[in-house]
Amino acid sequence: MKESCSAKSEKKRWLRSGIVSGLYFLMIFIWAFPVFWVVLTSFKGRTEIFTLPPTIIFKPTIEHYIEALLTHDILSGVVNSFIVACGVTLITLIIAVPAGYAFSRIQFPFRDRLSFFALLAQMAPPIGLIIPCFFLLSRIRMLDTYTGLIAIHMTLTVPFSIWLMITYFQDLPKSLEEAAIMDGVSHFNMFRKVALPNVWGGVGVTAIFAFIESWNEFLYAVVLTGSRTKTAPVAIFGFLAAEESRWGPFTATGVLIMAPVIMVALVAQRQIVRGMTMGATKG
Amino acid sequence: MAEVRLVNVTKNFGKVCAVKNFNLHIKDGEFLILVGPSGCGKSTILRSIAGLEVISDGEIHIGDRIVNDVHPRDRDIAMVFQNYALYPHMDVFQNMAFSLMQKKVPKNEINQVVANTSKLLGIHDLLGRKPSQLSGGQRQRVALGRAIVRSPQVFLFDEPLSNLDAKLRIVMRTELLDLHQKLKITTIYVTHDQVEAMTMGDRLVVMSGGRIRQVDTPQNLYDHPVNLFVAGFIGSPPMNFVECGIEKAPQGLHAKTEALDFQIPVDRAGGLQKYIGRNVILGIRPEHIVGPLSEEKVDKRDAFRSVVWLVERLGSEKLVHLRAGDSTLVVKTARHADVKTGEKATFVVHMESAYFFDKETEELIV
Repeated sequence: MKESCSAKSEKKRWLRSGIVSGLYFLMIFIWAFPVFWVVLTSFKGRTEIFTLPPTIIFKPTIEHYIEALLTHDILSGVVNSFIVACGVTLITLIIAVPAGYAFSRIQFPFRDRLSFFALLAQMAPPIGLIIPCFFLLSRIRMLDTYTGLIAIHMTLTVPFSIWLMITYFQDLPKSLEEAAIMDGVSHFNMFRKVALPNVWGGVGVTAIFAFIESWNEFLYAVVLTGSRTKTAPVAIFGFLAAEESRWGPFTATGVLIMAPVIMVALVAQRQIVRGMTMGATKG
Repeated sequence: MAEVRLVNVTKNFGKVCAVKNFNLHIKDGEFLILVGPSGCGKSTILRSIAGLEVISDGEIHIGDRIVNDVHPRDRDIAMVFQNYALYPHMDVFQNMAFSLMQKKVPKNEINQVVANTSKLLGIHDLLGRKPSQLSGGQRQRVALGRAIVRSPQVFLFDEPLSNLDAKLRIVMRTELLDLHQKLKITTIYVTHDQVEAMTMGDRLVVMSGGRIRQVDTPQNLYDHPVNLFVAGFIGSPPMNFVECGIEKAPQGLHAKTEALDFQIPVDRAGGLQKYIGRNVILGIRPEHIVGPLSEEKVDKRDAFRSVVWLVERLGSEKLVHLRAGDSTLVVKTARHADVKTGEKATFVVHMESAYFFDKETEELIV
């Protein structure tokens, strides 16, 4: 009797873990399948792409990649994306890192409310702000400029980056700074010589977040850029036209845009998860 | 070197009063220890002296200066923190030299001071290492070195040994004392470990609830506690406390519970006259209860028979836990003492070494 009870509970445990694993695989499948399909399509010949039923085993070709790289729009789009993303990352760090230190370590009026407000700004849906941003940039003649797009992208990256840096600075033991106070360090040097050297990992993670956020951004870019500053996510749509949608080069360009971001995320995944969960445990 | 005086120091954290009307004079060159349970205010006092906390009222004097409004870096003090607070991104040399670099001391002078101090502490070979590459004891020495190079008037230690293992703690205790004897710098040391306090301090300040309960040398605190708290805090194992009634008998006064009956020595009875018919707290140290003894050898006036409910073997001695009615007593016995858990044994109390405390005020009666 005892044995059959333990065998039953063993079976239940197997069933439960099987269901949970199944759900995990389903979620991964739902997220990963579109990426997998894009990569697969990018290596298919023109006719192979439209074959029904779709094929998984085929003779691969790199003709679409060559065409994508030789298309001026795509190359300039990638360069523009790179310029904008680098600009956004640099300025975000210049603002977010000292701001994170100030919010976490310095007492000033309305400190807690301001830090919450910064995060609140992140919660506004971009689609609701596209038209006001368009009119704003149009008025100050900043449409289709790097400066304009960088400024708008920073509304997406700065609030979250400040929040991230706050958690990294809060993680530093207070006694470290008290020791520095006893050693006669000024507030600025406390930040520069004591706190900052110990959060370089956090600065790196923040930089990665800001870069990825700007690199992948489409909604603001499609409205606020033109022929001069069109970014890669916008340029890719040049392959889709009313007469003919060229899925081969389209997917190849998609892979070229995704590849750097995926590689960076894979390399820094541990730090990224740590950065995201640190806020959860402190909150 | 300098003396330190705290005059009516009060520190509030919002509505919570951590320390109230705290008065203390620390002599020049003295090794003074603030000891007490967690939350008693000892670290608050230390941090107030350091300038890391701004006091709500009172004055702090270091040497001949009032330092209430003086920045910590200008108070001429050095502090060693509980977790050492070494700069993780700097090597040992940079950690020790950092404060001197802030003062713009010439480089060759810094090199010399750091070299001398590191030799004194035996860490000369570790100057190129980062803190993560050091053991606990080595980090402790670096933290000490960082304090010593400042040539302060006062050292402040905030539980510096509490992160070390038991063996290393004993080694570092002697090293700290040796260092104090060499440098003769006024030292204020905070600990919750009364063994550490007893072995290290010239004087101890026993604190609880933000106030001083007693200030004296370790031996005097042990032999002459003035209240229940100090009596129970100082000494390991702690003093036994039994609530008993004072009754008058033909032979003299007795201290009685349901299970125990001790005659109070004549020279102690005078102070207890006004407590006849009332309850007091009888305190007796574990080493002042002797046993186990055979019944014939015992003067029944001092003896009691009790069940042994636990025996702790420490190697050099045993700690025997006894149940006597509602009371539990701990007795120190020789390591070969014949005691077994669950059996009854006879013990004798040296009543001439007993203490009596007022039950309401907790102050010592006699």
